[in-house]
Amino acid sequence: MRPDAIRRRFLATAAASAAAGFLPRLALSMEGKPRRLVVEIEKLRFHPQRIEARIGDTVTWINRDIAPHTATARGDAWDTGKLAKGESAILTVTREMAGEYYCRFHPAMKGELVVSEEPD
Amino acid sequence: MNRSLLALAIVAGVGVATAQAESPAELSDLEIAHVAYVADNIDIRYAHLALAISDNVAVRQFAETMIRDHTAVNEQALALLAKLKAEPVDNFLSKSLVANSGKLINEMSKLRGVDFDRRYAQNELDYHKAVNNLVANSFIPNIENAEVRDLFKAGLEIFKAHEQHASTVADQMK
Repeated sequence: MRPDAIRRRFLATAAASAAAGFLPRLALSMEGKPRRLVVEIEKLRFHPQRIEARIGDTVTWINRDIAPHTATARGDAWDTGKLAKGESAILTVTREMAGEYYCRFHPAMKGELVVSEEPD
Repeated sequence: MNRSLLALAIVAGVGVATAQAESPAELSDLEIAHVAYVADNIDIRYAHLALAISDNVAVRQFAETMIRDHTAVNEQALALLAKLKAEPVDNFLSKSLVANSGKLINEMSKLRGVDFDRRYAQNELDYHKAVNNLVANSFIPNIENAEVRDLFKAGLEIFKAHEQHASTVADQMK
């Protein structure tokens, strides 16, 4: 076998081994990839009312109502600010965001953000 | 005006003009649009009065929401009317609403402190109950234009939340 052929085979084997070795980690990485979650605000309700997210995911709140709304943490730790009809806000989920939230303008509107650190 | 609506109208200080149109259910789409626009603006006036007089946080937050939401609804209504190339038409019910709101504003303007807060919160509850009944039972079933009807349905969802919110504020004032 010519030296360059040996070299090609070695590289191919090394690449295959590396790929095989890294596959579980790559798969894990794909599972752990931040997700884009969406909460629609319609008829003065958050849909879904309860959302489960991991740290690093993004959540987009979209207002479909005529009335302006907010999504605001109890205790004001986070807040989308005022969302007029058709407007949206994107927040990246942190551990501190876990818990109940509401609309500052319509206090009866309630949602819940459940935050986990581990991939599904 | 049927008996239940008549009773609600009286409770809410919504006058009843018997010499003109017979019933809110007989109003045209453009007359209904006028009533809604007037009713929105009346509630905005009440809210501005509350912000001028009240120091109560719950009352002030409620009033700010009334201004924000009713302004948004009116903007949608005007945009739809512009799209339809239509003008709202004044009518007996709009006139009654305006006349009675003027009396109520004069009355509430003389109140201060918790007396004002109680009166404002109770009126907001009564007013939204009365208007929501009109919208649900007389307006929506009789509106011919589908886009106008959809706007009223969307508005009703908001005003029902206002009624619930007003009830909470009124309870806090007791």
